[in-house]
Amino acid sequence: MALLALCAIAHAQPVRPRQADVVLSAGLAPPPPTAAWQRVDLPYATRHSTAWYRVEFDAAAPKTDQLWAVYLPYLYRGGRLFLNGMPLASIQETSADLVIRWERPHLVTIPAPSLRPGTNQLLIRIPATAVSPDHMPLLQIGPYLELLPVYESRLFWVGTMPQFTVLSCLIVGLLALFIWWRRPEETLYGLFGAASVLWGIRTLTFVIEVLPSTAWHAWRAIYHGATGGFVILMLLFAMCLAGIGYARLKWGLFAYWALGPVAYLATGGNESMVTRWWAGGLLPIGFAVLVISVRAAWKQRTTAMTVLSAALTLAVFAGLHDYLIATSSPLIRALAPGHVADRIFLLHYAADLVLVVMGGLLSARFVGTLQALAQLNRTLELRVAEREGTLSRNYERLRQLERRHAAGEERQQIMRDLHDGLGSQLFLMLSRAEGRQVDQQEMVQALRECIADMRLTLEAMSPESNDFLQAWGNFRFRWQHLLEASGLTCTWELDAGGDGIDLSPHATLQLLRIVQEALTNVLKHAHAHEVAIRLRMEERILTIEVADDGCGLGNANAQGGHGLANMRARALHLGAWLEIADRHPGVCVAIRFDRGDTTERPKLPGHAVAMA
Amino acid sequence: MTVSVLVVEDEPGFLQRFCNAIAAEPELRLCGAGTTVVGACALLDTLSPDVVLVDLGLPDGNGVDVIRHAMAHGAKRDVLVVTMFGDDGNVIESIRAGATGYLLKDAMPRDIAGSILQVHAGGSPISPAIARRILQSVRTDRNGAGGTSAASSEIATRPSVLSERETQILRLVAKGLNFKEVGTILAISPNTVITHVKRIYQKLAVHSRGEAVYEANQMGLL
Repeated sequence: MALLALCAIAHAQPVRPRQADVVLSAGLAPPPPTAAWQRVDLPYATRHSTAWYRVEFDAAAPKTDQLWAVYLPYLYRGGRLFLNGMPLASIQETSADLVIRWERPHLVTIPAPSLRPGTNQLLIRIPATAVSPDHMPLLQIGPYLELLPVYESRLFWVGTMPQFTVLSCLIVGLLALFIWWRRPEETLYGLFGAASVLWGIRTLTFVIEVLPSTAWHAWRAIYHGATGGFVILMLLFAMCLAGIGYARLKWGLFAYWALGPVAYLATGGNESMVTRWWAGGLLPIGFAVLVISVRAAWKQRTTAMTVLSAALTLAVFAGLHDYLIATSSPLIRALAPGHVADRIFLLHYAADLVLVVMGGLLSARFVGTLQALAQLNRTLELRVAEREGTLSRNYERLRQLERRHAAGEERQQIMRDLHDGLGSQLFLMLSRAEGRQVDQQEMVQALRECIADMRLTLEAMSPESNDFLQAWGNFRFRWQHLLEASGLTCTWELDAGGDGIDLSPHATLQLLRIVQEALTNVLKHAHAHEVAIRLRMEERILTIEVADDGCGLGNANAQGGHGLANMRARALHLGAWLEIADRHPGVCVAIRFDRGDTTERPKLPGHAVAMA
Repeated sequence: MTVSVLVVEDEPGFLQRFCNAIAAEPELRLCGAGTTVVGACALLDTLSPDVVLVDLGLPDGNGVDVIRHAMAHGAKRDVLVVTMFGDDGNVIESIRAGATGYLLKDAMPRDIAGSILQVHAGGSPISPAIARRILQSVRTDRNGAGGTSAASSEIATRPSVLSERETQILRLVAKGLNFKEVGTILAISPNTVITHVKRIYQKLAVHSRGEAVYEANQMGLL
């Protein structure tokens, strides 16, 4: 038996009275049972008059410790509840100071003692309002724990969702507006941001349930303004996305937009007039939004337009659905009677969806822009690299040309040297040998000179580097041997710092030839005991001196003998300063050569100077 | 005790010149003359001369092969390579093959004999160009062995090849200084400089043989 009772309790389902008795009465206390009660089907609505509803239900042996509750999906204007004649609860109603519109559902707990076994009687007073019908919902009565999830589910959809929508619309909208502020040419971001913010403001109407009456008109004006603005901005957004110009139309639309709130305030808050005439005008605009986006989607066949028009179509259907619910149309009553009783409106969810789609489209555009930018950068980089490559190739070609030119010049000079020096000497000796005008001693001497000259040329043209000191080392090694073999004491001084001396092979050759000529003179004519060869490098001036202690020039200089003319010609040609001084005893030959900047050809005034 | 000399030279004029110069020097004895690589190698085996004079451009091959043959099996003899200028790359090749001296083609007859005797007495000649080339080749070896070695600014040679003193000598010689001057700068006697130079030559030859063995190992020949 106890088990059975337990089962009954466990299975205690909330009761859903389908019918109620109603009587129109403004009294704060429940009307007597003798009043003109009329039986009606729930949900029910009356207009402009306060109504009392009487609902009877069986509380099948509720356990004393089990809490029961009355669940009202909506009670927009508040009201009073009585159970079995005793006041149960009072939900705040609109008063002189406050305007009330409860979006949230209500769950009124019933203390266990006030519940009777068997039939109970619940009385609900629903106050009258000026504008809308006063709805009596299809209520549920049962164990509190059974009803709590139902209550919370509805609270989420009609309470939490709007809060979330307001917050996210404002944040996302302000972000988009910020982007637009920094980049005014991104009109779409501006339109989307403004629309989003306006929708957020409009949705506040579901969040602000209690409002001081003084603020009521202002708030309603804002509400209308936000609603109208949202629809108009949607149209502009769709036109912009579809590529339709709206320069002039824009001002007309803005004017219409302003008209709504202004008219509302001007008429002292004539809600029905604004709703009927002005808000009605927004309907064709909304329809235009749909037509434009569907047409653009059809024409452009872009994902963006397709998705947007699909979302807008959904929104239109949602609007239609809401209209049917609001008017309790027989059509929807026949199709889904339970749904009508729930009074769940879909338009603002659809609007959320539209906003999400718009945001998504803009994000996609943003990402696309970034990618295009990255692509552009890559292309640019590629082009720059290409240009760089071309430039460096050209530069390399130019350098090669220059090098080839320089090498060619160098080669020509050396060829000329060979031709004028070694060549002419060999030809001279050949002709003399053929004419038997030359003795063996002279021939050997001439050939040795030729070989020496060839050595010099090779030393100067050493491919390893253009370092004069390197050629000088070879030269010194060879000549030291020769001079010492002839019994001369020679001293070599080198004062050139640690670095090499960069000279062209031609200049090196000419300088060494002059020194070689000077040393040959010392060997052949000076009858000297000592010879000092000094090399000095100061700044850019290279000085080489050959000083002996021999018999001096005598009249060789005057006659231009001993190859002196030859030395001068070479110095002149090279642009070097040559000084041949008779010092009694001995001769000092000094060559000064300005090697200039390593790139420049050396030039010195006076060129070659000879002194007696 | 005279020094036996083998001359390997294909040009009759020069051959004559060298032979005459050797014959004129009482301390030298001409023990044979070859004109080809093959002939020279055969003569080397039969005569085992103290000194070999080798020209590099032989009709049947390179004189470097003759030098290698002459210095094979650690033979104790001196090879002088005959060169036009004393600075071409062949001289280095010859030194790496074992030559310890060189002889200029246009040397005076008394210089020919003098050079031979000097080398035999342990005094190797060296020209600035050769010194430079040796420095370069050692540096190249070093870089080659070091791989990515970034120490190219550090001109010091690999300790296993040349000593610091030997490198100093080569650098001075490369500037054109003679042995006496080098000795003065480094505060050593000219004879010590000469000994150093010969050791440098020998080191190069040993080193190049080592390289050859290493390479042969790498190639799986040994």
